[in-house]
Amino acid sequence: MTVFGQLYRRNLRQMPRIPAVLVFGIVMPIIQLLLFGSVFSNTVDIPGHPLFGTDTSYYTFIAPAIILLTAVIGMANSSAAFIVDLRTGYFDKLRTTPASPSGVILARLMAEMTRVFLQGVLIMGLAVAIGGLPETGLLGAFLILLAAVVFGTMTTGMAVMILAMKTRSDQATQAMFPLFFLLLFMSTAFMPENLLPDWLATIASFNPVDYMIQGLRGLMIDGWSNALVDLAIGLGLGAAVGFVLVLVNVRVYRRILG
Amino acid sequence: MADAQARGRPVIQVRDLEKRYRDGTYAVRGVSFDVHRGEIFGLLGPNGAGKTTTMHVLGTLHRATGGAARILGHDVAHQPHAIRRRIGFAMQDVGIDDLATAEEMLVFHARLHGIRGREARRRAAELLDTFDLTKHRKRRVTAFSGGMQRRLDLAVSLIHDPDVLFLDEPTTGLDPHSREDLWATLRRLRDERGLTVLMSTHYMDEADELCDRIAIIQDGRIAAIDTPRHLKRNVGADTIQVELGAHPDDWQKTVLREGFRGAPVRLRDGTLELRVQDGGESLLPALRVVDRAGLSVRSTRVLSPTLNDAFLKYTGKRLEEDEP
Repeated sequence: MTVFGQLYRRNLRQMPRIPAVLVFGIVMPIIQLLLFGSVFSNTVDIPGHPLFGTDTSYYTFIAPAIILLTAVIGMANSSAAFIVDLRTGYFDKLRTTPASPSGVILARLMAEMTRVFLQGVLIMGLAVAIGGLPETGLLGAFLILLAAVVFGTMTTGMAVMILAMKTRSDQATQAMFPLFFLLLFMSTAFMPENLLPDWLATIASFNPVDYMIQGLRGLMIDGWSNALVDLAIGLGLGAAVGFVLVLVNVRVYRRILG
Repeated sequence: MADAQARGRPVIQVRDLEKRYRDGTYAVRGVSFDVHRGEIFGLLGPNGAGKTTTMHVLGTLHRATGGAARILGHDVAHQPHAIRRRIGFAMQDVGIDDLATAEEMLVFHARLHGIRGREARRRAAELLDTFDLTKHRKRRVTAFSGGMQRRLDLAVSLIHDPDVLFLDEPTTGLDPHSREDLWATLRRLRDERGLTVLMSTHYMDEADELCDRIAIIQDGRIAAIDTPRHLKRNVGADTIQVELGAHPDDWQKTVLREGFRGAPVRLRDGTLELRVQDGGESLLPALRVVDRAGLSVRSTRVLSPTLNDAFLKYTGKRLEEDEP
């Protein structure tokens, strides 16, 4: 196994040992799906709602948003173990071994992506149990999970790595949560665009998170044709954010190396 | 310890090393030294003297802003990966994986260095035994005491049998017994494996007991490099103090003067002070002279220069003055 493989395996082994992240990552998304699904379930009976008059469940409607939320929050939590390594000096210890610093950080992100993907599988499984398979089938389900995880990594995953290296503080990285909740609620995550107030619909049209939700939901409910454009825009915007964050990460890391 | 200079090409070569921060202050300025194979070389100085920065640059953790350094023939600025394969580094802040057990950490680091399967586990078991951690091997390292964590960190640094070991303040936080155990282990590794050690310390006794050579470092510059013995010897001679039973009369003073044959000697408050090159060897002859003069002796003391005296001589201040 390569050095990268060793680092990846070590990171996976750590996960059950940070119960807060594990419990938060598993329990919260399930609660969110069941809670939001229950609270807003009657909105499908409003004329004008895309699901009005259909037999598609509201759980199916919000499942992509919850999966995206899980991915983004999950990746925001990805700094927890990294901060432990930074605080204990173990990150520096690893820097004196054949493990390259970029490899250490990438292996961390890969392991967190694996964790978040598995959390997403849990949500998807629950959504499928309640409302059936996505319109695009198993391949679509896989793509929804993958796209959500990639988006979460490019945005919050990269951002928390910067905050972790700069501040070595859990509080600083958790400042990401409210920001994403804001972006989520200023989107069509829970309500279709035509039922949002005009001002909110306008904001949503500039919100990269909304493109992701539209794309993921398209795969879930509509099929391949409509979804891929939105998904491509969402991932493209996420990649642009991710690119900038990678540059900042490199800059911050070089400062550490001094 | 055999003469280090006879060991061939230096394992560590440092020339005019400089580390300047963005605010213009220098952590290290013009540091040069060589360390030879099998040598335990100490950087002795107070906190903030530049010891850790020097070690971090040589250990490829920080980049120098000037000068050059080679470890095992590899340039630290351009060949860090080659260096990292052959060094072990135990830092001042113990670098341990809080979420692993002792055994997991050792095996993981063995694997990072390409040591696989049974061999990784064998080496882990051997080092756990060496550092008296075998019975704790399945425990998470968060449950370890500070001393145990430091021992584990050192074991991890040795898992790949490195050629050079960097130790930054290795015995800080250790009890006296653990310190001496660690010194013995390092001496054994040096003798058995030819391990080269570059260590920093602000403990005089550690530098004196353990290091083959010492660089006295202050304000980012090296003030002197030599063996502990030579550094102390360069401060000056030993002093023999003989507290006499009575004040000598003129005849007795004459006997003393003739007996010591013009050596630097003075009588102060009933105590004879004699400056000699080797206090241990000169004590008995000195007491014979005192006896010839018919004087009784209440007590004797042999005072040798300490490393702190050497530090004072080369830097103008005592090392302890900087300690909290």
